[in-house]
Amino acid sequence: MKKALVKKVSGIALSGLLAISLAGCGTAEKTASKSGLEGIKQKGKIVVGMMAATPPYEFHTVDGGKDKIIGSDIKLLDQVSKDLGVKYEIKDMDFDGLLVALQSGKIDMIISAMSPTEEREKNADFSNVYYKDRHVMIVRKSELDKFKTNDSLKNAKIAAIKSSVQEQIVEKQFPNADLKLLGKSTELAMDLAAKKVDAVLVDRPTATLLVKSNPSLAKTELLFDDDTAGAAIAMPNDSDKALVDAVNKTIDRTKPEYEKWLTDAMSKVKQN
Amino acid sequence: MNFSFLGTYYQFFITGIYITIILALIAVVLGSILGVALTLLRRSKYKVVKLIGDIYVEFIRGTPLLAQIYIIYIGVPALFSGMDIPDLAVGAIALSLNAAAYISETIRSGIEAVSKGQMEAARSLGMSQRTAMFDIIMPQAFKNILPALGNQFIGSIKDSSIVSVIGVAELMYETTIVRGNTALGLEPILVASLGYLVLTFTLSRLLGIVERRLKTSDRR
Repeated sequence: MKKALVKKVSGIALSGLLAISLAGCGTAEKTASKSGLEGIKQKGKIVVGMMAATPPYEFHTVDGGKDKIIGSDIKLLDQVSKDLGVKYEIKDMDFDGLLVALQSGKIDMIISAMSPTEEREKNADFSNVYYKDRHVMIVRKSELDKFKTNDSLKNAKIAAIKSSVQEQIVEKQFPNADLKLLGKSTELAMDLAAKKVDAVLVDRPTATLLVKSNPSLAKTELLFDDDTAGAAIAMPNDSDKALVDAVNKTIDRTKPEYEKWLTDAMSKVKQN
Repeated sequence: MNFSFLGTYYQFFITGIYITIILALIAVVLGSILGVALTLLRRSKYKVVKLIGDIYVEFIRGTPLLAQIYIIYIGVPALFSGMDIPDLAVGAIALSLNAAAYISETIRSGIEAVSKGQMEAARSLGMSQRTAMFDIIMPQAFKNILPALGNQFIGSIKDSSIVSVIGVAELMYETTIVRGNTALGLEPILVASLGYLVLTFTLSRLLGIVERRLKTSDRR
């Protein structure tokens, strides 16, 4: 009697599990990346991926005890979603995971100060550029005199964001340096302050803020350019033209305001 | 050390612990059900069924949990194009599948640890294989299995931290955000560690009570 009951229960449990997993397959939503502008309007929202640890572009802050993501890219996102007439949902993840998420349909677009490189163009469609800046090396304030020339960094330990344009710049210009790659800009600053690396390469606005929230760090005079046109919004490969055009329209309209958003966001970063 | 951030950021840790508990709970419950099913498969007299179970356990035991998480996160949408599983579900599924393999091993070794004499005696008393298994062997095996199972549960609580890489807002993920905002490297980690300790310590105390209760029937 007991064994029959156990058999029955396990049988039901197993078939229940199978049924649930099959049902899950059936009722799965089609990802919006396959349906472009129309799909997004139907869904009523865009899912946007970003690495929200890069002040002033996108970063976390505490507003009335709650976690909020703010920054110049958020202001841009506000405008893009307003023009498209939809709401937005932010997915915060490490930078190198963004393109993967875009390709697998987990997000509809990337707004994370990402520059269109040749490699990236193969895997995504980029909007027009909405902001362009140069990159700068940050070091510990105590070592500022040590690093006055590019040569001084030849064999140094340099950190940059994984899969970023800065990574490419360091590989090209400092091939003998020890390159360490991390997922978030804030991690770069922490490693530098903790003496795990000698220098960090980030773009200028990010540098300004990392130095602001980490008083032991300082900007050097060593500036670099990447060979891309600047930051743009990434959308899935072969996105429909209507979507790309709509996004570009917003960018063209708001481009003059971007600098103001940057300064606004910079003022919101707290100093520790 | 500076712990002043707790005033503004305590909510992050609470949210994190909440999600961690959910993940660990699902992993343990689903993992146990799947683990039992897996053990039955592996004890099957049909070679093919046994092989499937064995291959599954070998794969899970032989690859890092991190790899398994990514496989489900990226692989499933790629394989079943268009299927979008929420990140929390991906994490829970990966943890459950992982736990199932280890639990299956634990159950198997628990069963094999019961002395063969028990089965022989049961059979010679006229019990069928089934009756002997469920009424004689399993209850004794359970006492062997429980400590190892408890370790597995505690392991699941800690393993849930790895799920942070796909963006699930459990304790470690929330801790990373606090670290980023406050530019404090160590202190938030210490707070998170305390959180995990509270969870695992509570669980191991509870398991200790259950173990002691079961031991009362022993007369060594």
